Amino acid sequence: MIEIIQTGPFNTVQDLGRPGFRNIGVTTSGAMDPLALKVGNSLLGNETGAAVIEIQTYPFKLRFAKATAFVVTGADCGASIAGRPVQPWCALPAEAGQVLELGQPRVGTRAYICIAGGIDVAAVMGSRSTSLRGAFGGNEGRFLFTGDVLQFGEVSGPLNLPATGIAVIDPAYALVDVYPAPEDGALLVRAIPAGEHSLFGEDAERFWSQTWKISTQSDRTGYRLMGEPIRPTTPIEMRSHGVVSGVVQVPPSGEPIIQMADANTAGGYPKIAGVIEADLWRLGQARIGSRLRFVRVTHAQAAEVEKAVAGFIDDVRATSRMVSGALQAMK
Amino acid sequence: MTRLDLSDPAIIERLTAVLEAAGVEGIEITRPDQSLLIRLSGSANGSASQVRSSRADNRGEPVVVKAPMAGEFWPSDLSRTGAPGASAASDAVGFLRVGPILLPVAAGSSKRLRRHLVDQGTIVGFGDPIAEVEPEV
Repeated sequence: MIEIIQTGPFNTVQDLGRPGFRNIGVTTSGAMDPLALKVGNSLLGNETGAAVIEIQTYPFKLRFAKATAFVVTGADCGASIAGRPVQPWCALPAEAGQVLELGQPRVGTRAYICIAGGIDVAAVMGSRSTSLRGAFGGNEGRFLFTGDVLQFGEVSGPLNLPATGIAVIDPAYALVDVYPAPEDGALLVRAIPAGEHSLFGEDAERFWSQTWKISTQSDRTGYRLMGEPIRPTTPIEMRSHGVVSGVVQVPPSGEPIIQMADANTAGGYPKIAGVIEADLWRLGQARIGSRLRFVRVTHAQAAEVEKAVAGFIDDVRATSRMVSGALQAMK
Repeated sequence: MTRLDLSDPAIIERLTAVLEAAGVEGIEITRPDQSLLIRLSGSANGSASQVRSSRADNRGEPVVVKAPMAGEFWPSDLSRTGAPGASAASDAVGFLRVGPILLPVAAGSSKRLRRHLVDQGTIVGFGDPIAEVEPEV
């Protein structure tokens, strides 16, 4: 059991979301940085998609009511346990009564507190994710309040963590061959041209070549971008159609919107591109006001990136278990 | 907890099986009364047998921190060096990298790093000395 003793708004319980219900208007939800969630859970020996706490506003503080193990992944927010600094992405044992504290992020924006066994809230439509728009799922369908108490589940094969913990190297370092470094401070986001791409004529090329800025009108639903507007060669009126996270729509203003984890289920704006799924976590960690550029890739290239990321996550799970086992054997 | 008899063939056999299962090449256990070195075949390059530890005392003398397992020695979390203000565990004297995993190696309570005994990127074996620490003044 854990008790929330300090929180800002919009900090929620999330897992990998509830796909399969968009046809009845239910958003998928889920972590904005699914890589941080998957790596954290894999490090602890949890199910890969176990529920965690997504922190978007700081400071955040919780107390462990009983001994367990935890890891803070995602943004580096100078976490500490019982007043001692915590290595980023380092699974550590926690004792009953100890307080875990997260400060303002120094790198990234969203931190994930993963706990051995996962956060045990009731699953709704197969997911423990909080749907803030639908006011269901997670912890009573709302963001966390001070005083909230959350249970955690049992982990079938818990790791025997040393007191110093077991950490994961920065995924950006481990996957340096897979994720291109920022260019001139702009995050490179890979995307595939979408249905209405060709209707933008020469402006379509400008979509790819120019640098966009993430506006303050950005949240878990979508990121509104700022830049030189792009428009279809002739005005388009479309029927509303299905939309998923990663879809880049262009409203009449000409400044694109990237649909994110709480993406609308339908929309009528023309779609110029779709961000590849394996790059969505990088957007989830991008700060408001930061810049990005879209890089055109193919389905095959997107699949290659997904494969590399999945391999990294599998490696984390297998190697952490091996290291833990070796340390136990040498005790 | 009952102390293991390190000369017991059954214990040696069990430890050997665990090492094989964990993919570890060898183990050295040293106690005041007994010591045991197991080296699996095909691991002739290991150097754990050369290691002798110093013991902590209260006179401010340096203490050697040894590698708790094999791995690539990193004096700090090199994967996050480029990140401005990235934090690190306060009492880690180094890390052992094994694939995507970083194992922090702690100095122990009230100890501070005096010097590293191996270079960055060195592959160390179980028991290899990696750092000298001394009691905090």
